[in-house]
Amino acid sequence: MLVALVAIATHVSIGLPSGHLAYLSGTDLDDRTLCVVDLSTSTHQRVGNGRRDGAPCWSPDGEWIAYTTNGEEGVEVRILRPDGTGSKAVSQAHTWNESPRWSPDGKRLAYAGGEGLQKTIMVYDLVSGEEQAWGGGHPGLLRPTWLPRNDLLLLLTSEDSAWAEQIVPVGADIKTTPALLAMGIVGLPGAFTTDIFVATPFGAAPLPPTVLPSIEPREEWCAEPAFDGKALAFESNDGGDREIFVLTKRGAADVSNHHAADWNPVWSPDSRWLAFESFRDGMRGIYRISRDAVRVIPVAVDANADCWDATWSSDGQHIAYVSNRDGDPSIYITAIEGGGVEALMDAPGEELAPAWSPREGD
Amino acid sequence: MRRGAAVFVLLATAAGARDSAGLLSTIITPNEGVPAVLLAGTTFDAVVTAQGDLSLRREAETVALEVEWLPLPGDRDLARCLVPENAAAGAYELVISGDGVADNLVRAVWVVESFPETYAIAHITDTHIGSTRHARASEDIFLDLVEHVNASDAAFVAITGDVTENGDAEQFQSFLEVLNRCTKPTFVCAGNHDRQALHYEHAFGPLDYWFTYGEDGYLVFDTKDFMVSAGLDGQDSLLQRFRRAIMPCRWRIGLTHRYEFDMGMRSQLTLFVDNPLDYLIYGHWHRANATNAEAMPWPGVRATVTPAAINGAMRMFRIGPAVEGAGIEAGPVMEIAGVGEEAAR
Repeated sequence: MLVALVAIATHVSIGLPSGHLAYLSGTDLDDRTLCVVDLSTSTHQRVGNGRRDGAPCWSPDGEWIAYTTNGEEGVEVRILRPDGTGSKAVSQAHTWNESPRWSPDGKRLAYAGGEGLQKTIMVYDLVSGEEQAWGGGHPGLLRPTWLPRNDLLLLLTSEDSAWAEQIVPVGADIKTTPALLAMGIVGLPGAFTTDIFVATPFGAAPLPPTVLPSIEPREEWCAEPAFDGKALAFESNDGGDREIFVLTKRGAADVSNHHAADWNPVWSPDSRWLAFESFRDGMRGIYRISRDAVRVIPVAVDANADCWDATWSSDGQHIAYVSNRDGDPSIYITAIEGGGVEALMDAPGEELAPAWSPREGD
Repeated sequence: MRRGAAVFVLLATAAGARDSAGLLSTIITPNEGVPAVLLAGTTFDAVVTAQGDLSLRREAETVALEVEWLPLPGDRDLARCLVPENAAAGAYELVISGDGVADNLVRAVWVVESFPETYAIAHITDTHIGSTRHARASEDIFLDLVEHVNASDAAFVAITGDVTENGDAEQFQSFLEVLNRCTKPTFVCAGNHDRQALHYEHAFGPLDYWFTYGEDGYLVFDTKDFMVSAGLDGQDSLLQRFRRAIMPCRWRIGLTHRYEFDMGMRSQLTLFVDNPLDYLIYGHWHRANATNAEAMPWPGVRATVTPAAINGAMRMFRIGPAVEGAGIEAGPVMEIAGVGEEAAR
């Protein structure tokens, strides 16, 4: 169904790039539907199942979108073309599935499958159509993200062969072994903590404490490798409140450092910048910082409203985000240089979870 | 006629000016499920859909409020209301009037003489109004619990969700009618059974809020979007800010309908990990928890689950100064109301 809902609500003074933006639209959780807008024509298309659809995730070539939606039972992962064609469920083994993420080559899709602490990382192979548990079926693994390159693993395994044996068979080439990161829940009930795990088709192991900011147990979350594979952003409550850390071959550094919570790091396409959310000015706002953490630059901050869920345009010149500045959560777009804000549309209901197509000029 | 039904007819004439369907109109908060409890000479915040003159009313007495208006996103305004020093203690109706504006809500504002260092709260959960699972009407079972609370020393009542059987507007009206028999402030949150359209929001307003009682902070939050991609709609923002707001409090206590590990991880990090609540009180299970670890997997947070009101049960908590690590004590499960044929007669 092709519907021109409403043109870009305000004037196009910030020079919106062309391209496609996927997002969720609805009046309530129950009717949240995956939509795609062609920014050059302001044509919005409802493409999702419309049954509590979850946040969209584009394949690296921009040809597919993965998302979660209510199935006959539980929540399934589905993929479809941006025009809504080719829709099919990919999750098989588990009734409940969440957090789909594409591999850098677009040939695999990882997600967490299962319930509660039994969740594990499942990987769907788009070529074979088969689903496989990764990490040796290690339970308590959530929120997978792919490692674009294995530089980090090579560094770790060169220093600790015993650690390497947990994730690859002896003699295997770590350089060519596909790997992803997942957030792991560890410990017994009543004493939970979280760790960043590395998972391969063979096994899973938490990152050695020696590479983290401190060896004390901390609760990490949102591990996000840079697209160039040379850095890893993650959250930790090391230091008391939640901060954004960046791990490189030089070690881990707190790049957001503020006594208010900082969370949800999102790399720019060129891996030079991190967008993140912070409460440092009272409300939840979006800020950016260079990988070297020279200074924190506000991107979308409102004294009376929250701004969240940043997504970079493919050229890194714009950020789309959600804000409740006009009441219901709606999507806005701002330019990285020069500011300015445009509302994506002017229609009743909620717009959530924007995701910009990664294809340049698309 | 059933005993409960007779009471409801009488109450209808005394209820506040919700619209004909029992829905909130101009005044959103405070209301019967999200009341303001404060000392005279202090302020409370009211959220309204139109500006007007605000006052408190109790029988023939009217107390004018000094109001500072603050903007809110969307079509709402926040009124910061100063209660005069000479306002007497008691339950008040909040009234708004003005050009084309008229609304009033009973039991919305409670002026107290003092906040005791040690006090009791009542926990009622899972009233399931409209349920026919027992011979006795759900309204009658709930009314027995309310009457028990009225006779107790509870400072207020926490009612943590599944207040209706399936979220029908009529069930919310029935719930409200019994609720307004309570002579204590009643703080309500939504449960998974209360999700049908926006009936809960129309009956009680916000799904998440915080309040203080004396030195203690309470964070009331909704987990009815259980096992879905939580946090997309900005609830995480509220929880983070609310958690910071009650940070300086003596005790920080969470009230919710349902906690399970599958709720959004961001919410869990905010509430139970980075700056953990001291205590979480919830329901949903229709049974009590056997151990703390069963009710709360994260370290450092105590948690208690209270069995369902629809089965006649409730629980009292005693809140006081920290003594050897304690200070929040869960009382035993109290079987207050009969649910079968004998009780129905």
